[in-house]
Amino acid sequence: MEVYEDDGSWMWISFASNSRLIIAFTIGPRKQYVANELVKLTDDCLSKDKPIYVTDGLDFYKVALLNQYGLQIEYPRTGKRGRPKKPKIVPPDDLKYAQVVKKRKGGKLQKVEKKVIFGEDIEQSAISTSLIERQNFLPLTRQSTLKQFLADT
Amino acid sequence: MGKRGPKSKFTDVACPNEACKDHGVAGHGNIMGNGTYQARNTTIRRYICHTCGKAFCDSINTFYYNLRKDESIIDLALNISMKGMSNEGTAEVLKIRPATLKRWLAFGAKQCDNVNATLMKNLHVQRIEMDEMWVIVKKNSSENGSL
Repeated sequence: MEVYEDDGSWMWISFASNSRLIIAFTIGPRKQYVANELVKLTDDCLSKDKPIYVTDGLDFYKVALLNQYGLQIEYPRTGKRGRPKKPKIVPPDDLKYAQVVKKRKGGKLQKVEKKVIFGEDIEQSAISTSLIERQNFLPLTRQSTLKQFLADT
Repeated sequence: MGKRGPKSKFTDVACPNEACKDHGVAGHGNIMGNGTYQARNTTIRRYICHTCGKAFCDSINTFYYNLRKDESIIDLALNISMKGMSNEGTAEVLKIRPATLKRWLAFGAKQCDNVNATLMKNLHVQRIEMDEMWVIVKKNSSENGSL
């Protein structure tokens, strides 16, 4: 498991970019179980049609999406020698997930890579996290308000 | 017909008691007026459900239920608090106790959760962006034991 230097309190947000609507948020460390919780909270608010998920390069989201939507495939016994294949979780056909991976060197942005993780037919223009990053900038400018609000409630 | 004209029938009010047979159903004729009382500088009507016998008032299941202060002061306090002023500062300006303001904030958050749980369902969304943001809550949370 990856260990992050900035392991502390993080606000995890899912955001519908077309309507600028914060669908769900949760607070917790940068751990897999918090990503699972965010994906579950988001899915509870959605209809049956799955949207395109776009995140940064954090791999917790990939595992969380697989946990939420994945289908378990069990391999039949072959009758041959050897250990039988373990069951595998695969993404369903209608799940679309892409990542925007930013590579930095010395704090400076060098390259932005758009990766399609699950699904096909995802337009390159749809793979972007700029709107949620802009949305996240606003609370950062009001840290004291947010801190007070979270502590009070 | 009463001395002051026909009594209103409250056909748009439903019983909020979840154990009642007519819970959430308006226009059954089970709701009758049960007097009024003064709170928050306004007159609040009381009702009684003749199916379950429970009495309730206008503001039940709302944020203002059981609060005594004027609605304008409560709204102002929450607005000021949301803009970043400290609880103690807000309480001092509005001449209320900080504990009262904290209680209002907690009620407000709970009410927001209820509204979200009711409205944020079955959303049709084409694209969802997810991200995480570092926030300073750890120090505060260890001080007062919350979170």
